[in-house]
Amino acid sequence: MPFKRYVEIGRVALINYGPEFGKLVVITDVIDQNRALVDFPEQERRVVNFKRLAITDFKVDIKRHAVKKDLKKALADADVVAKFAASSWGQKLAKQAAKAATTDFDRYKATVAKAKKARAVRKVLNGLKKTAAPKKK
Amino acid sequence: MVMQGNFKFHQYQVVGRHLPTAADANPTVYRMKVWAEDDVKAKSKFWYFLRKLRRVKKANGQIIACNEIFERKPTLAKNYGIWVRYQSRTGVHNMYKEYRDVTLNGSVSQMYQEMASRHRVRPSSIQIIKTATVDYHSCKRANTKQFHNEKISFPVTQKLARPSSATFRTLFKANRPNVAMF
Repeated sequence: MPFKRYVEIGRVALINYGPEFGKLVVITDVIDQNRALVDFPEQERRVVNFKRLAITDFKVDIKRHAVKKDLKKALADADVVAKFAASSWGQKLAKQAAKAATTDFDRYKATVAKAKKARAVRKVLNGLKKTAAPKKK
Repeated sequence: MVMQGNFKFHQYQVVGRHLPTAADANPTVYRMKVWAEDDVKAKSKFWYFLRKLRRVKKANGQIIACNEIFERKPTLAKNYGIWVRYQSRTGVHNMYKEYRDVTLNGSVSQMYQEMASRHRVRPSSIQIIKTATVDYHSCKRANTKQFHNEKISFPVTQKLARPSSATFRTLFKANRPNVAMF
C-alpha cells in the first residue's frame, strides 16, 4: 500500500508528545530529514522533530516561511480546524478530553444513569420473556 | 552573563589588544568570534588563537569586551557553511561542512556531533576557521540541496508509538503497537 500522508510545506500535523501535546500545527519548512519548522496562528514559529508530529490528512496552500497573516487566511479558507474536529480522529480527541474533564460527581451520575437504563431494559426484556416462553405444565 | 538556548557551545565576540607601550600608545584592536561553553572559555580561546596569529598574548594584552552573539532570526531555516581545521591521529585536516538549521549555534553543535561520530574527533582538537550563511544556489552538498525544493514531499515511514509524556511510559504493554503509517 502506498503512503497517503506526506511531509510537505503546508501539511497540518498534530503534536503528540511533550508539553505542547494536542496542538495543531502547520509545517512551514522542512529543515532536514528529522526536523520541520512549524507554525500556527497565536503560536510562535518553531522547530519540531518528526518524532513528535503526527501528520494529518489536511494540507493548506501556503508558501515556505509564510507570514502569520497568509497562514491564518489559508487555514480559514481550507477550514482546517473545524474539519479536523469533525473527523473521527478529532472526535476521538474531543471525547478523550471530555472524559478527562469529568469530576467524581459526573462519573457517579453516569453510573446511576447507566443502572437506571439497565433496569428499564431488564424490565421490558423479562416481560417479553414471560410472554414468549411456553407455559410449564 | 545571559546564555541563549540549550547549546553546549555559544558564540562570543571577544575584543582585545596588546597593552599600550611607550613605542605604541594605540595598539591594534582585534575582534574574534569564537564558540565556547561560557565567556571565561571564550576569552581563553581568544588568547589561544591570537598568540598564534599575532605577537600578542595574555601576559602582555588585555580584553576590551566579551559579548555573546545571538541569532537574529531564529525562526527561519538557513544553510550554514562551516570551515574547520582539525587534528586527527595522523595529521591536520581542513574541511568544509554544510548544515541546515535555524541558528548558527545549532549548526555548530551539529558539526561537533558529526566530527565526533564520523571522525572520532574531540571538540578540543577542532578549530572553527570560518562560518557563513550560504545562499541556496551556492550550496555544495546534496544533503542540504535536497531540502531547497519548495514542493518537497516525503512520507514519515515509521510511527514512533509512545505516550504523550515520559511519565506515562510503561515497560510492559498488553498489545503490540501498530507502527504502520499507511
